[in-house]
Amino acid sequence: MKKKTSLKLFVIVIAFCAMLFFTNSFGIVDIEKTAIITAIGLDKKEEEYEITVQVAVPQASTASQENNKAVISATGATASEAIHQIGDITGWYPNLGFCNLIILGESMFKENVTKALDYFSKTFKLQDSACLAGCEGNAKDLFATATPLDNISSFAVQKILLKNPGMTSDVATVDIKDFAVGYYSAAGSGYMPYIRSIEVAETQSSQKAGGGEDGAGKGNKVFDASYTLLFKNGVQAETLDDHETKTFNLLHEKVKQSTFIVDDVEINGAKENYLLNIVDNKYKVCLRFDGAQPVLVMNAKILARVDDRTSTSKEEGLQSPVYLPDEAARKAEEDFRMYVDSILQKCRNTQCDLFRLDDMLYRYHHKQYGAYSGKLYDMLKLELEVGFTGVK
Amino acid sequence: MLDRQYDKFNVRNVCLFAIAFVPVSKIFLLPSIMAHYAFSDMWISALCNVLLDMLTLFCAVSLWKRYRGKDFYDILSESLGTPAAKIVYALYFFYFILKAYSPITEQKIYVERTLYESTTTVLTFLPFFVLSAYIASKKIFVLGRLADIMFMFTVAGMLLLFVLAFSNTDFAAVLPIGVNGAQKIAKGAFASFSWFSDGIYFFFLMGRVIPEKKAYVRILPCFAFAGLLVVFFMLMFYGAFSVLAPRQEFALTEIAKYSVSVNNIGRFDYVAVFFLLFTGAVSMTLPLYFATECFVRFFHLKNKLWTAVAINAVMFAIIYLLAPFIDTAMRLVTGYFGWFFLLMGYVLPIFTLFLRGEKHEEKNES
Amino acid sequence: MSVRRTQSRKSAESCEKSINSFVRQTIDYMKIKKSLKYSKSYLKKQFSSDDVKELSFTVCGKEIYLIFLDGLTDKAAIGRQIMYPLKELTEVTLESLENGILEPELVRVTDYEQLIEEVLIGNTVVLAEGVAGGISAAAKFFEKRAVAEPPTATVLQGPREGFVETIQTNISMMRRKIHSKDLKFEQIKVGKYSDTVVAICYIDGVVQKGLKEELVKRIKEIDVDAILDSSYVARFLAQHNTSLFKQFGMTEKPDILAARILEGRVGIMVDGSPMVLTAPYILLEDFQSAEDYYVSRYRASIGRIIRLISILISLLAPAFFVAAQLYHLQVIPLTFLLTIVNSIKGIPFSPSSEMFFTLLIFEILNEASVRMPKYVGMVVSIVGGLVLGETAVSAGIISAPTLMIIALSGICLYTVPELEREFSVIRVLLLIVAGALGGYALLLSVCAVLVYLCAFESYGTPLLAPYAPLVIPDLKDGFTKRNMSDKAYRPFTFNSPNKVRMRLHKEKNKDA
Repeated sequence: MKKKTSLKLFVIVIAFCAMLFFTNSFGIVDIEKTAIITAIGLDKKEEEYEITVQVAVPQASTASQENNKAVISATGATASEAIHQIGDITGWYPNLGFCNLIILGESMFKENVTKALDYFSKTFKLQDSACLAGCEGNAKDLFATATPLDNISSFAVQKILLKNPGMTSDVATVDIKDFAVGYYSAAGSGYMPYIRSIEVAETQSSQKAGGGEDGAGKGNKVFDASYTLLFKNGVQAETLDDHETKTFNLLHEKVKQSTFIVDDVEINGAKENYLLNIVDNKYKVCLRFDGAQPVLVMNAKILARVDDRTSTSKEEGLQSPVYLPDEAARKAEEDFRMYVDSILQKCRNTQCDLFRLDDMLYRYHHKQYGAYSGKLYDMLKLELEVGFTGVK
Repeated sequence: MLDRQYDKFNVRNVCLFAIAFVPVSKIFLLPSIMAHYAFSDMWISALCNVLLDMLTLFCAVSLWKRYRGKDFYDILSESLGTPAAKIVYALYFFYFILKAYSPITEQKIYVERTLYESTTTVLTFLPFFVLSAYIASKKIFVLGRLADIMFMFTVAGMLLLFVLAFSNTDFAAVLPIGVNGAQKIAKGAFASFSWFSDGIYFFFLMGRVIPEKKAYVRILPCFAFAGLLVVFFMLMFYGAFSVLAPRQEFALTEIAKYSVSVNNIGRFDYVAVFFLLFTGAVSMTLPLYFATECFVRFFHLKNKLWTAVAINAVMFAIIYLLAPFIDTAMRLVTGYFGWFFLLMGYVLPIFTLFLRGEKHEEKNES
Repeated sequence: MSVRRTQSRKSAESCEKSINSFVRQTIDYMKIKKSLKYSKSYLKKQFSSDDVKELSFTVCGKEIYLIFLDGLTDKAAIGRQIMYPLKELTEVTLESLENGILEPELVRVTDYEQLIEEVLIGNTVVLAEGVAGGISAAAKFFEKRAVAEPPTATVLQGPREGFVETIQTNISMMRRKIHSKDLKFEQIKVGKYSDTVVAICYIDGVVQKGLKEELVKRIKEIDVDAILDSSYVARFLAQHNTSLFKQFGMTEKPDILAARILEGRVGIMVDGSPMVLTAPYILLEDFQSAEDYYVSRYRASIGRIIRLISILISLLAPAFFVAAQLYHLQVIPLTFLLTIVNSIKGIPFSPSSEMFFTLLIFEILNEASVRMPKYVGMVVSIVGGLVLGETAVSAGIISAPTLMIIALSGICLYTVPELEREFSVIRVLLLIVAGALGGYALLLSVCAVLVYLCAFESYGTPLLAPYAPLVIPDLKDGFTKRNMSDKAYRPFTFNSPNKVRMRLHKEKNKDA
C-alpha cells in the first residue's frame, strides 16, 4: 500500500517536472538572453559614474569566425545603477559572472575608489577574484582600443594581468578582494597595476586575428602594466615605476622567477648592462622592536643567472651559461636597495602602508599597536639585507 | 525470511555519519555569522562548540552502553515516566524544527543567490523538501548506508577546498589569538548553537545501534575529526578573507575561487562545491528526519511517509512565510533561541547522565 | 455445548472419509489399466494432436503399444533400442519390458497423468496388453542451438562458451566447471501449460543460509500459464514489484555463474532460456566483466573505474548541460561558453527541448538498430549518424554540442550494457528534472536515486554493497580489484557460511 502511494507521488512529481520542462517560460534567463560581460570599466563623469562593459558577442555558428565584442556604456549615480542601465538599454541580462577585469579610469583616482568598488566586492553576481587595475585616461577608451593581441581588448589586458606569480614580477596584480582587504584592514592601503596603451607598428598577425571581421583584432596598440598605483584610504596617492614594482613584487608577492635589469655595471673599466634571470627568491619581511624603535627587517636572497649582457666576447659566446660576475651582483644589490628606499620614501610621504606594516603590528606586536599605529613609517628603521648570487 | 545482516546502524555507521554530515552544514552561512560575532577568534568559538558537541556525544554513547537495545523514548519513560518522555519528545520535535530552520534557510538563500543567477521562484528550492520528505520516510539504516557512501564526498570536497584555498590563505590573519575577548568568543559560540549541537542526533539513534566494544574509542575520534574539519575551515575562511570575513556570506563558494589553478581553468572549485552540496543536502534534512522520528514515536504511528510529507510541507510553509522577515528570524535564531538550543542541545543531554532507569544486564552483552 | 462439538467432530470425520474415498477412486481411475484398448482410447482422447505418434506390434501374441511425440524423439533410437529388443522378448510383463529396453534412462509409469507428462517432455512410453503400467524411455532428440559465444558477453580473453536454451546442456556445462558433489541442482516444474523446468543451482555448504529455501518456496508459489523465459521467473521472484532496478543478476556464461555460486549465491536456470538468473544481486556486479578476472588487476581496475565514470557521464551529461545552459552559466568555462553560444545561435528550440528531442531521436535509432535485420543495420547507422546528425546540425535544427553530448552519453551507457535499460530511464528523468528546475534539483535527484538504492535490497543483500553498507574486505573486488591471492575469503556481502575461499601457501605451511 505504502509502495503504491510512493509510486503515485513519484509519478505526480515527474509529471509536474515534465510540465515545467516543456513549458519552461517562467522567467528563465537562458544563455541566449544573456550578455556575457568580460570586463567593466569605471569612469567618473561629473557627479555620476560611467560604466563601460565589454560584452562577448557570439557569432553565427561557422567555425572560422571568432567572437566579436560590443562595448556599451551607461551612467548612474552608483555603479549598480549604471549596470542595471546597461540591461535596460540592451535588453540583455548582464551576466557579470565571467567578468574577470575591472578597470578604473584616471578620473576615479581623485576620490575614494571603494565607493564604487564596494558594490562589486559585495555582489554575488560578480566574482571578487576579478583583477583590478587603473588605466591611463578613460577606461571607456581603453576598451575601444584596437590591439593586435586579441580582438577583445579586455582579453588582451587580462593576459598581462593574469595572476601567475611563478612566471613574472613585472605586474603587481591585485583582485577586488585583496584591494578591499587592504582598504578595510588596519593598514587602510592598497595598490593596483596601472595600464598604459603603447603604440607599436602594425603587424601582419593583426590582420589574421581579425579573421576577416572589420576592425576586430586590427590595431597597433599594446598594453603595459609595469607601473603600480598606490592608494591610501581609497584615494590614489603615489605611483611606483617599473623597477620599484618589480622590487616590491620580489619582496611582497611570492615571486620566484623573474628578470632584473642591472645597468651600468663597471667591469674592467667598461660599462655593461646585464639582464638577470631570477631563478629563486627567498625573501622575508618582518617587523621587530628594538626597545621603542620599530625595525623593518627585509631580507632577500636572490639566485640569478645572466640571461644576456650588452657585450659578449667571441670566446664567451661559445660558453653557456654566463656566470654572474661579482661586480654585477653588487650593482644589482645596490640598485635593489635604492628601489626599496624609494618605495619606503613614497610610503612615508603618502602614509600608504604598502607592506601592511600596521597589520603586522596588530598581529605580532599587539601591545604596541595603539602607540605605533599609523606612525610606523615615520619612526621606522630599515634593516635591509639583499644578496644576489649567481647560479654556479 | 532471510537474515538481514546489514539492517542496522552500527558503530562504523555512526563514525561515518559524523564525518559525512556534521561538517557540511556549517560551511555555508555560519562562518560569516561567526565572524560577525567573534571576528578573528571565530575558530575558537567553533572549537568550543565542537568540544561541547563531543561532550553531548559522550553522554549519548554512555547512555547506549547503559541501556543497550532501548531507544531514547524507552529510557526516558523508564526513568521519568511516560508523560515526561512525551514532553521531552514534544520539546525535541520543536527543537528539531527550529534547528532545521537556519541551515535550510541558508541553503535556500545560497542556492537562490549563487547557483541560480537570474531565476528564483518558489519552485527552485521546493525539490529540497521533496527529498527531505523522501529521506524522512525511510528507515534509519538508510541514513547509515548514505553515510557510508557520502563521507567520501565530504572528505574529498573539504580536502579539495582546503588545497585550492591554501595558497590564498594568510593564517596569520587570526593573530593575535583571543584578542577579541572571551565575551565575543562566547557570543560567537552562542550564536551558532543552532548549527552545532549535533551530538543530539546520536540520542535518537539509540535502540537502532548495537553498541560494540570500544565504541568510545571509535566514535569520539571520528566526531573530533569532523569537528576539526569545521574548525580548520573557519581558520582558512578567516585567513582568506580577514576583515572581510563577516560579509562573505557564502564561504563555500568563496573560499577556493582565488586559487591560481581555478583562475586559469575556470571554476574548478565547483567540483568541491558540488560534492559538499551533495552531502549538505542530506545533512540539512537530518533535523527534519529526527523531527519526523519524534512525531512518529510520540503518537506511535506506523506509517512515516505522510508524517514526513506533512512536516516538510509545514517547514516549507514556515520558510517561505518568514522569507520577508528573514533578518529578524535569523537574529532570533542566533539570539534568544540560543538559550533553547543550549537547553535542548547541551543541558538536557548532560542531564541524561544522571538518569536512573533499568540498566541493561551485562550477561546479555555477548 | 459438548454435544454440538461432538456432532461437528463426527460430521468432519464423515466428510474426511468421503473425500478420502473419492481421492482413492480417482487414483484408481487414473491408474494405467491392463486393457490396452482402454488405454489407447483414453490417450487418443487426451492427445488429439497430429504430432502424437502411436505404434503397435505383437510380441508373444500380446500387443505392445508405443506412444511418442514426433519431433522430440529419436526414431532411429526407438527402433534400435526399444522395438528391436522388445521383439526378442519371450514373455510380456512390466519387468521384462523394463529389462528388455536398451535405454539408460527408464521410468516406470503407473498412471495416465504421469504417462502424459512423460510423453510431453519427449520420452517414448511403452504399454503392453495385460500389463498394468508402462515404461517411459528417454529416446529424446530435438533440434537445439549449439554452444556458442553469447552475444551479450563477448570477451577477448577467457572462456567463450555460453548457455543455450536447453537446460540439460546448461547443467552439463556447470557440471564441467565445478566437479563437486556439493554442486546441487533442484528442479521444479512451473507453468500450468508449459510445465517448464526451473533449476535452482547452488553449492551446498557455501550458499547463503535460507536463500535457497526462500527461492524454492517462491518458485513453487508461481502459478502461471507458462514460463517462456527466465525473465518471467525474475518478475515473480522480485521482492519490489514497482522497482525500476532489476533484482536479479543475469548471465549467459557458465564461468560467471560458477564464480557467483562459489560466492554463496544461487543460480536459477530456466528451460528454454539461455539467460540464467543469479540471486542476490548487487549493482556492482554489472560493473564487473568476466574478463576482469583474466587480466591484470590494474587493467581490471582501470576498466571498472572507466565504466563507472562512463555511467556517470551518461546519466548526468545531458541533464547537466541543459541545467548549465538554462540556469548556471557560471559553471561553464568562458571559452567553452562562447563556443556553445556560437553553436546554439539560431536553434529554434530551447536547450531543454533540443536535448530531449535529440535524446528521443537517439533512442529511436537505438530501438531501430536493435530490431532491424543485420543487413540493414548499416543503413541505420549511416542514416542516423551521418544523414540525420550532420544534416540536423548544418540545417540549424540542433546544435553540435547537444548532438555530441547525446552521442557521448549513448556510447557511455553501453559500457555497462546490463544496466542500459534502467539507466536510460533515469537519464530521461534526470534530464526532465534538470530542465525543469535546474542543477540543484538535479543534484537532489541524484541524491534521491542514491537514497533509493541505499534502501534497496535483493534477498537480504543491499544493492549497493560493498559500498553501502561499507564492507571493507569486499572492496578488494569493488571498483578497484586486487589480486586473486588477496581474496582469501568469499565476499562477506553474501553471508556465506563457508567464509574461506582459498588457503594461501603460507597458511598451508603454518597448518602443516
